[in-house]
Amino acid sequence: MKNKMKTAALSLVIASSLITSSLTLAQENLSQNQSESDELTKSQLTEDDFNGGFLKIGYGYKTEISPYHSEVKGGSLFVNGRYQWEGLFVEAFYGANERNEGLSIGYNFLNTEQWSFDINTVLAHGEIKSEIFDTDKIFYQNFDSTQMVGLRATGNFDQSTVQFMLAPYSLNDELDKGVYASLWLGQSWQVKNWQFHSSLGFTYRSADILDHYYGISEEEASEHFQAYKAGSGVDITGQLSASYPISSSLLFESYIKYTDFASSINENPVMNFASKEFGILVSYVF
Amino acid sequence: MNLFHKKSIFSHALLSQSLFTHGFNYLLLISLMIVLIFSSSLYAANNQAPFTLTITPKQCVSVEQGQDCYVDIELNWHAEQANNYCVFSSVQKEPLQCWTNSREGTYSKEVVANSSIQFSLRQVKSTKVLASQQLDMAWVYKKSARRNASWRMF
Repeated sequence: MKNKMKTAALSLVIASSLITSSLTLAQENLSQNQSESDELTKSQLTEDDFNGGFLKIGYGYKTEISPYHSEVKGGSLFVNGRYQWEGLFVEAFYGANERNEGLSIGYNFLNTEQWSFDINTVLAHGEIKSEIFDTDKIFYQNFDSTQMVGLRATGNFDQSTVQFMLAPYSLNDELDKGVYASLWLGQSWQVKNWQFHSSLGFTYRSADILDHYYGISEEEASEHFQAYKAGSGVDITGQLSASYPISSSLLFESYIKYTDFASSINENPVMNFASKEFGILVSYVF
Repeated sequence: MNLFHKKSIFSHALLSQSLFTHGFNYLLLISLMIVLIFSSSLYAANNQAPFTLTITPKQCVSVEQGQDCYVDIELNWHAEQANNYCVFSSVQKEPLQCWTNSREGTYSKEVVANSSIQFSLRQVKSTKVLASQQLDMAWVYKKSARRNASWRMF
């Protein structure tokens, strides 16, 4: 059943790539037939127009309560950037106003008026390393992070943004099965020179992924940590942020983020609380 | 008086004369510099622009290129001769404000714009620009072909 699901997801990714490639060819043919006096539209833009990127480095105060590491409270560095060249891109998101998904590399293969389509990596789950002493047993949690590869579609509609991601391929040798998917909705609005942004995200991980990180086998079980089999689940994240331009290179930012984990994560014997994060910083934008 | 003594007196005389000449040259040089400086100041004072217009601040910054930018500006103008003057902006035909029989004035207002604005000082019922200043637009993020503004959200 799982193999069939993975095959179906793979077929969907391949089919999407083929369809969108065909659309690209069709759009190119259409643009060749248009007259020179036509106004330049996004479909006529070349890859050169999408080359480039941005880099933002900030420093400020951050508090973070997360089940994955000890509480963070104090000065913190924030780095966010993206660079694209001839379709290939690298993204680094470690900080405010973003989903803090770390490093991602990929290929942007299609752009329409409202949509961008990429194949890229995504951090499906971070590493977990801990030791828990329970009576006469030590319960070890030692898992590397899992990067997966999939298809991403991002839509922009004035001040609203929507992004889908479907990643059926794992780059983690210890976890070669599983499906990761996400849906993010974002809305921006301007009040004087303040820019406010809200986003809501739903992150799905299949049972293979969650059981790998949160399952407890019979051999691992101890007196207070019973055997547990995790099913698939959806995390829900909400974020609010505010930005104000201090100068053409300096940006004041503040954000607050809350994540409610899937019930299959919260019900495991080891951890069961939500993640909260707050930050206030000044960033330099290159 | 022997030859050496004569030479000594002569050398002393030559040295004194040399010192006097050098000293006089330095004094002459310093005097010339003072005159030049004073003349420059006098020239500048006599040739000061008859009309001045200043704007504060000179720039408005928004988060993204193309967004409306909000800024409280203050325009100060000065004229050598009192007359009827008006301040204009490039975004409207009617004057922002006019002054009657005045030599100076101040105009303050919140401005909302997404492109640079030119402000000018003119006499009433005249199209001749007496002085001008520009409010420039700036931004943190430049617009790019990639519409999904990664910096904003993801």
